[in-house]
Amino acid sequence: MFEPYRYARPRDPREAAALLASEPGAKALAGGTDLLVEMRARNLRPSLVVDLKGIAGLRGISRAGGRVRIGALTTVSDVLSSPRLAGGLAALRDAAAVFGCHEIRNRATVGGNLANASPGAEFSVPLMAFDAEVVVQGSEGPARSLPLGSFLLGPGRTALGPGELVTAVEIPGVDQDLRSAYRRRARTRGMDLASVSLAVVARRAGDPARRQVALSMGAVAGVPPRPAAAEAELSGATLTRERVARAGELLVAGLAPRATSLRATPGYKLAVLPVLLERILCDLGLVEEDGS
Amino acid sequence: MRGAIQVQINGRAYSFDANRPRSLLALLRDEAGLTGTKEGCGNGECGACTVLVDGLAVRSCLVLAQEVDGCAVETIEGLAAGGQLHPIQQAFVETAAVQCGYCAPGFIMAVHGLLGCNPRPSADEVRQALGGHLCRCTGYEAIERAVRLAVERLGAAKATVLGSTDHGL
Amino acid sequence: MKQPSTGNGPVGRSTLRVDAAEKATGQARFVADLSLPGQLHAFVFRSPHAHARIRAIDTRAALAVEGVWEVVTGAEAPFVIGECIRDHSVLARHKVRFVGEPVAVVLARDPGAAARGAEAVQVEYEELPAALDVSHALAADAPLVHEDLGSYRILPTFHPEPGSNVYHSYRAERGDPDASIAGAAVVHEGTYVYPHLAHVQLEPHGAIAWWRGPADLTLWCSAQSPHTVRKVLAEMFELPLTAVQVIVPYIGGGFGGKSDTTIEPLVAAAARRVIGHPVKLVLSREEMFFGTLLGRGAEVRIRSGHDSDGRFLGAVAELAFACGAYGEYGINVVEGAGHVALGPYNVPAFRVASKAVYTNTPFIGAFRGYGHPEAHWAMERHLDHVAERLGLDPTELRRRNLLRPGDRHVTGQEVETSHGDLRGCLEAAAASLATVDLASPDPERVRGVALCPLMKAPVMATNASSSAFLKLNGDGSVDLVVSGTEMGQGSRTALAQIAAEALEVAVERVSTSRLVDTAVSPYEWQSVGSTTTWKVGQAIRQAAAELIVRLKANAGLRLGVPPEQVGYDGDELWDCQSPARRVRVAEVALNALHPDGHAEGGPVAAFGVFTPSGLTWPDAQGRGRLAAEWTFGCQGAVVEVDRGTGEIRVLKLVTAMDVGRVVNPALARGQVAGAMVQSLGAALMEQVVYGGDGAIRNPSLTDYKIPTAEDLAGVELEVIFLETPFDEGPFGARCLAEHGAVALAPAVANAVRQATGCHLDRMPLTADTVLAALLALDRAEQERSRAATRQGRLEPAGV
Repeated sequence: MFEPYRYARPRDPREAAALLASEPGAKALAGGTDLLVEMRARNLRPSLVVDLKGIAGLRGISRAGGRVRIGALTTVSDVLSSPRLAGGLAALRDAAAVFGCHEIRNRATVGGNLANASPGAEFSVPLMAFDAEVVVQGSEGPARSLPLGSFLLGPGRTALGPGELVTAVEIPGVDQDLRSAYRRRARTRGMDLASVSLAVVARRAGDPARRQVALSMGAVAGVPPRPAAAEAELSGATLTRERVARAGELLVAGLAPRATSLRATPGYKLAVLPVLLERILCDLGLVEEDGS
Repeated sequence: MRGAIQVQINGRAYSFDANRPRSLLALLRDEAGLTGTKEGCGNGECGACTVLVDGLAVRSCLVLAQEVDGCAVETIEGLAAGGQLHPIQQAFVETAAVQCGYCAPGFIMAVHGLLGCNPRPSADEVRQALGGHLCRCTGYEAIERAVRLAVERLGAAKATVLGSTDHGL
Repeated sequence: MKQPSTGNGPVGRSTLRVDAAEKATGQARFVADLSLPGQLHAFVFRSPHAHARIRAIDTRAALAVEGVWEVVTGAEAPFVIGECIRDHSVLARHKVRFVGEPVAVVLARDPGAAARGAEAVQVEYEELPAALDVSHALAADAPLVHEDLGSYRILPTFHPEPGSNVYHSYRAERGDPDASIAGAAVVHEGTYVYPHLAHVQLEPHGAIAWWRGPADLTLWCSAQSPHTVRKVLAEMFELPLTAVQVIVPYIGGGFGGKSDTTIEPLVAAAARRVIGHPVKLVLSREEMFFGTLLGRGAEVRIRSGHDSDGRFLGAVAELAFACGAYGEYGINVVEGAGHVALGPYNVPAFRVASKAVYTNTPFIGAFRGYGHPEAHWAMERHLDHVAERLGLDPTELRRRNLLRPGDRHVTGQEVETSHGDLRGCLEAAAASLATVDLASPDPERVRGVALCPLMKAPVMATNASSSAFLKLNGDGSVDLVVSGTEMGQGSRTALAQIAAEALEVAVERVSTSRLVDTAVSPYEWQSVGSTTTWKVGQAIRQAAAELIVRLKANAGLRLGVPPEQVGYDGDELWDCQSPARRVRVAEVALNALHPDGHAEGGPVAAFGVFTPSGLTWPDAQGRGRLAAEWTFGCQGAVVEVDRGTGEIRVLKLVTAMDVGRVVNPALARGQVAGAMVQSLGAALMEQVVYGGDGAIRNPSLTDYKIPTAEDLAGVELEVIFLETPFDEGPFGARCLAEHGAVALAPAVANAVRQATGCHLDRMPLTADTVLAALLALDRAEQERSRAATRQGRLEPAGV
């Protein structure tokens, strides 16, 4: 049972932002797969639900030069089936494939997933590794863009001010030489949240001397981190098994996942992340085989 | 929002109070009197509440009633035409894919939605489409057989009965 | 249509379920789909504490909430119920004993108002120390969940220990097991843990209670045992049974979690405060975890001694169940586990103690398998350790110890050939598992195989009677009216098949009642224990025989011959001495109408009964005729373990079972497959997790995971039925619906051990626990353990 709410379906982002700013109990509704769960639990009792789905232009994936733009209302099903996300952006398709379930994917949006700011959010993790930027719109003034790492502030917290909404997320530097993958562990093979996850993004992938490897992990910290030491170990060098193993150790050094998770113990996460790293790097064809 | 939610359900026009706070699931069950769509969890975790909105399978417990203003909704009650079972329903009956029956409408609507977009899904695509649907009775094997049977029959029917409206495709 | 009585008749056919179309079209009605004019909605206000005294309850603010009609607490509804042990406060009185215990019920026209009302209820508690698990509850200084245990009404067959948290123990012994074990070549001792599970029926519990007057109650509910609900409510309100009418439509999954009573007493008690207005309660998914019954929750210690060939010399088994705050519902689970604590093995000397322990957690009750999965988990894991210690093939170890005809079981009952072919089931399972290649191409993924034999009896009252009512209609069709509830197992269909076979007619001629109404449906003890096909089936056969007698009487009147001279074949009746003189069944179904217009006789209907014979209560040594029947079987698993992630991939699952006679092959397979998949969930992913405060941390499907279709991808699932006829079963049919859940989990765990060398004695085997075990176990030790017991594959005997 929901507490009473008013419902609005604005036509443009500024109108939506103005509605969101108009009262403290105003909440944005995109796919509803997070909001309605909170409303049913009576944790959230919005006085005004602002349905963003009436706003044109917020859904869709476009590409201009080396930049890919994903509208905030792009659904997870859209991501899964988009030809524009094939190839180097495979990590996003990997994330979409394990996100929730089919019906949830038909409704949940990329913008909503980021704005919910869960430490294990399926899209936050690969987008962090992609150095993605979040485009935010208020009721007045121009849109502003900020790195995802600055947008996500902690579990359930973002840099969105009152009356602001996410309109898009953009990925820079998308070219032929980009490779990526996202893998996770979960408790079942069906619908589940991630127990722990890892995204790997390799730019200039085919050229070991100039290759840049970016990593991010889910369900290990309040915000998906960028493990700089592990990234440095894997960048600008031929990847042997020994180097990959060292990177695995660096990957988890300093991680302190909370002991209270219902999904996996800290020990499990720390043990399995290096395994996932090695497997992803092999799957992406980045590890030099020495005849073994 | 203006005074009424105008929505098509199973091809018929309905009008509902726009101001009451409830999900699409509650709207269907309590106000449209269509109790075939079930509540198993209320949180989108089980699939028993699955309906089609504008042809897409969604969890009706996670949709506010106001969101379907102007939409076309299909529920389990709309599948059998004039009392004749839809091939998906017939397949579920024949393969013993129905035990307690509580998950069946959700599964059937999910399959209906899947086949509407992808008439020849692979076994993996079927499982991916149904991976979020819980059944505690059957162990899923009979359900997978039902889907295979339905795909076969609908494929054959399409090939031989062009333009027929019997199957609700 | 003529039908011979066996072989080609309805029994044995995969008749399509009679309720499948109704369910597939959304037309089947469950309790939540029903609404009565003027109904009120109930919202339950629950305790946040595991153990606390109630100092004061203030309902004034709640009553002031707009739309709230009534707030009912234990003060207004001071009912205490329990047939075996009267310990259950329907609404908390004086203290609360678990997080989630109902403290008040708020009634309102609108569900939202009821929820808001519940938020306004104010309760002052004085927290008490809580005993949250068995070891804490058994400690010498444990807080007592029921201080007044000594004064509770309890049936004489149960043995409480007042002044402790043990409210019952089943004990059994034979010979001197300590001496036998002392002289053994190998002695092993271990502890095995089966956590609490949730049933996760897709349909939440629901009930609508309507008091038309203070002595006139109608209750619609999703309950497996309507006559039990009727009895409990009548006693609770001190009314005759005729004043209470219980109606059960379709049940969306039971698995034992809707047996006995669950929310019905609570709803009826609340509704009595608003006579004239129906009160409806449907539990939320969260409430399904702490607002009804949980299952399992056992810690088992086994110590056994074996000769150098692996044969049991003696065994001591101690089981302790965390039964939760109220003991009524788990008491017989504990008993049943005790009966089968030593598994399907011949153990010459033993001591068994199965304890029911109060804990400050939600209470347990029946869950598919009823104590047998817990007992088998322990014994089968234990024998896996023993096999390793002896360097003996685990399957051979089982063969050497299996119960044989002539052996005496823990209960003292003698095993007979007619109980089924246990050895045959083992060999069938072994042969099935032998077809899977255990070599894995990837060194990071290792495979293992294991099998576990099983036995289960229905654990039930000694007087668990069934009855059935058959009425013949004017067109020759037959209405079958029973109180067996349809919860998905297919009873409506299977019972129609049995009736049709007994009446020598096509199954389409018989229609089983769609719902159970205690006012008109004949008595059935309970639809539990996999007993409906058996017991109700036997009652139907008796009714059918009687129906034919009465039909022949009408025909005799019509034909002018004595009934003994009348022949019958399902469609027609005739004068045996002059067979050309015939009438159709329909012509004499309602009466005998003569050509000149005069009529005699009357409508044809019949009643049949069945009570399992000769059951007794256990004596002081735990012996008696406790098992009305056994069903034997054997389950097995082939698994592949990813050493890097700990993930278990199941390759094959098999169940071989001697079911006596398969009434409906498709439905029978569906029951066994469903039970196997439920067990797989228990083995790999399911457990109720408690916080330090006693609250369940995962009361939702987000964090209580059950198997999905994706988890079954690539899993080969085989079900093999043997048929040694059960002489007390309808056409030889035996109980089977729970049995697929009895020994599958240990088969998976034993296969994992064979693959990895890791002994996992606590369920579930999550990737987390498997990986931790792998990392803890030295690689060399893994190889040594695998080599010790694995001969590459399971060889069927005689090869």
